[in-house]
Amino acid sequence: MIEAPARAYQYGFLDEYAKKEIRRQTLKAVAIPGYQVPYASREMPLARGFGTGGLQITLSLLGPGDTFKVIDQGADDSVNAVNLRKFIVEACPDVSLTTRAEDATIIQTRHRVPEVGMSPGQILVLQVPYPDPLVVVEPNEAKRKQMHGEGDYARLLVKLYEDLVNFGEITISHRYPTRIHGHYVIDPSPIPRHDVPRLHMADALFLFGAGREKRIYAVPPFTRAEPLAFEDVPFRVEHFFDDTGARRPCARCGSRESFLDEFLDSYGRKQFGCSDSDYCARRQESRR
Amino acid sequence: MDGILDVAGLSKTFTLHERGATLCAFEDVSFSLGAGSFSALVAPSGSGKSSLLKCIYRTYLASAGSATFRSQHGDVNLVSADEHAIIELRRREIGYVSQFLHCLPRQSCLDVVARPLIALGANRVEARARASEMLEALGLPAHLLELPPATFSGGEKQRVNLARGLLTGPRLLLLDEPTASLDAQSAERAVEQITQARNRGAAILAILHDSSLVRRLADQTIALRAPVGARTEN
Amino acid sequence: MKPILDVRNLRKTFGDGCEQCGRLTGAAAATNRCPACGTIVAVRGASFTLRHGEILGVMGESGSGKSSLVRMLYFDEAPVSGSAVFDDKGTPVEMFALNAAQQRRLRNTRFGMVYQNAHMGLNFGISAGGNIAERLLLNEQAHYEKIRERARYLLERTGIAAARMDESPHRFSGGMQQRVQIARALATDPPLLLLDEVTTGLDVSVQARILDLILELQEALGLSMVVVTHDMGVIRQLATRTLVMKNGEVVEQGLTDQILEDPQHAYTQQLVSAAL
Repeated sequence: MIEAPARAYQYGFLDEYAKKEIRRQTLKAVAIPGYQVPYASREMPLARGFGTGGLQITLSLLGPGDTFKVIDQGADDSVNAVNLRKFIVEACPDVSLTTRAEDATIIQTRHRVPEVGMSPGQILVLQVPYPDPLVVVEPNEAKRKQMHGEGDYARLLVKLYEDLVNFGEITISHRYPTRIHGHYVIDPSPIPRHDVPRLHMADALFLFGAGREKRIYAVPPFTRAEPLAFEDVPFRVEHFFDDTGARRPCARCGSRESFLDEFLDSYGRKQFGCSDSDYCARRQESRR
Repeated sequence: MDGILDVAGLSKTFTLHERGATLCAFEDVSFSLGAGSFSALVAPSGSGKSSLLKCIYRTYLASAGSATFRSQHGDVNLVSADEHAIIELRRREIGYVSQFLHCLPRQSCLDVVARPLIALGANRVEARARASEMLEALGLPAHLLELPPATFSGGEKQRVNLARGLLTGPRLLLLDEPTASLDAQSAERAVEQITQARNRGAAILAILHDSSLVRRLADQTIALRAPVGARTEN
Repeated sequence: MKPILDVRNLRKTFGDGCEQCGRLTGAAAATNRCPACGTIVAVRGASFTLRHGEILGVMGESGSGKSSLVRMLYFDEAPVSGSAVFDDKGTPVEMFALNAAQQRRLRNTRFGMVYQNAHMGLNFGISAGGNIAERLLLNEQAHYEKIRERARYLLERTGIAAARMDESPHRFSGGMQQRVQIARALATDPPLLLLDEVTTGLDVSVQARILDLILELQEALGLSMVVVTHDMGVIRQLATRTLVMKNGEVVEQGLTDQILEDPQHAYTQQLVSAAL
C-alpha cells in the first residue's frame, strides 16, 4: 500500500537512522566541548554552503511541540531564512514557527546570536562554513588534528601578534578564534565579535554544524568560551563610536546596545541600524 | 724529584691509506719528567720531535706505548684516556705551544691570551689584565694588544702563543721551538718566563733549535733517533 | 659529570631493510643504499655523548647522514632504533620513549635548531619578530609587550637592528636570516642548540660573523651544541670534538685537532688532504 502523499517523505526529511547518527555525534560534541566531531553529512535539498550543516542538526532535533525560528544575518525575512522556514514547515508539519527568539525552542542561525540573548533550555544551531580555526595557519589536516589534540594554538596567537604589529589592533571581525573550556579553540562561525561573549557561561546550548566540511561541535551551557587574546591586549567587541566618541544608536529603534549594520536610507545617507530585525522591530513597536 | 710524566715505549706510525704506506715518526721512546724540570728533545730534523710532543698532547694518536701523566686527580694515560679527560687536562694542567699560532680569527690578541683563563672561571677584566702583563713581559708592543693576531709578524704571533700557553700555569708545558722566530732580546724574555714557570714547579719538555739554550736550560736531554728509539742523557 | 646528551646506536633507514643491508651499506661498501633491497640506511648506529657546554662537530659530505642525525635529535625524523638520553636539569629523559606531544614540548622548550635553509626554520609569511613570538607563544607566554621585548632583545643580541623586527625575513639577507633563526632558536633559553650547515651558502665574511656570534653565545650562555657541517673551517673554529660520518656510518670520532692533524680513517684522511 502506498502512503498518503502528505507523508511522501520522512518526518524531518532525514531518515531516522541519519537523525540518530547526527544526534549521537551531537551528544559527543556536547560531551567534548569545542571538539570537532566528524559526521556523515547527508545530501540535502539545498546546495552546500546554504546552511546544510545547521539544517541537518535542526532536523535531527525538531519534533512535535517545538517552536522554531530562523535567523539569516540577524534577519527573519531574508530569502534564505524564508526558504529554510518553508522547508521546515513541509518537513516537520507540527512544529510552530516564531520570529521571537525568547519563544523558540530551537533557533537556526547564520552569523548572529539573537540580541535578546538565549535562555535555559534553548538551542541555537549555527551554520558553519569553515569549522577549523587552524586552517588559516596549517594546511595539513592531520597536523591540525594533532595541534587541536595538544591544545597547540601558538600559531593562531602569532596571527594575532602579526595583526597587532601591522595594524595596531586585532583585525579579526568575525569567526574570532575562541577557546572552549580551556582546551579546544573553535571557529564560532561568522558571528561578529559582538556575539562571542554570549557563548561564555551561557544558559543555552550552542550547536555548530558544517555540512560541507562534515563537522559538528558544541558549546554547552555553563562552559567557558574565551576569545584568544594577549594578557595585556584583551579581546574587544566592535565599538560603533561616531566621530565624537559617542556610541551610535540604531537609526530605527535607538538602541545603543545592539550590533549595528550600515545601510543607506532613502536619501542615500549612510545610517546605522540593528542587524537583529526582530529585536529592532519590537523595540520600534514599543516606542510607538 | 716528583714525577709528572712517564713516557714508556711510545711509538708513532702514520698509516697513509691513500698511498697504502706507513710512515714511522719515532719508535719506542721512554723517559720521565719531574716537577720543576726542563727537558730538551734533541734530534735532527725529521726525527719525530714535534710528533712526540703532539702524541703527548694527543693531537696525534700514539701507535704504541703509554704516556702516564700524574694529574691532580690521579694518573692518566694520555695515549688512551677519554677525550673529555684530555680536554679537562688541556684546560687545567697541560700546555702546548707550537711554532704556529692557532687561534680564533677576529679576536683581539688580548682576548686570545685571556680566553683560557676565562674558561677556567676568571673574570674577564682580571684575565685581560693578567694577559696584558704576560704579553708585556714577553715584550709585545702595547699597541698590538687590541688587534687580532692574524696580521702579526711571526715573532709577535709566537709571543702571543707563548703567553697563552704560560698564563694558566700548566703543570706540564710542551714547547715546540718557542723562540724560533724571536730576536735575541725577545728570546731572552721568553726564556725568562719559561724559567719562571719551571721554578713554579712545571715540568717542561721543549724542542729548541738553539743548542746554547739547551745547554743553559736543560736538566736533561732526550735524544730521538727515528726509528730506533731514544736515549736519555742526564 | 653527566653528559647533556647521550646517544646510543641511533639508526635511521628509509625502506624495509633486509638481511644484507648491514653488510652491503656503510663506509666500507661506499654506499648507503642497499643494492639487495633498495633500502637507504641514512644513519647506521651512531653513538656519541655531548657534555654540558661542549660543541661537538659532525663532519661529512652530502649523504653521509649527518643531517639525518641532528634531525632525529630534533624529532624532525624518527629513528628506527637506538636511544638518546637528554639530561633535563638533572632528570634523564629518554627522548624516543616520549610520546609525540612530549617530544614537541621538549623540542619547543629545551632545544633550538638552526637549519641551512632558512625557509625550513622560519615562517616567511610573518615578521622576524613573529617568528620569535611563535616560540614564546608555544611556551604559554601570552603577554604581547613582554613578547615584543624579548624578540627585540634577541634580535639585537644576534646583531639585527630592533627597528627591523616587524619586517618579513624575505627582506633580509641570507646572513641576517640565519641570525633570525638563531634568535628564534634562543627564544626559550634552551640549553641545547642543533646547527645544521648554518653557514653554508653564505659569503665568507658573513660566515665569519655568524661563527663569531655562535661562539660568543656559546661562551656567554654556556650552551651545548651539535654543529653539522661539511666545512672543515667551521669544525676547526667551533668544535672541541668531532664525529666524521660517511655513508651513514660514524667512521671516526675524536678531539678536533686530532681528527684534523692525525686522521685515522682513510675517508677522513681524504677529506683533510682535500681541504688543506
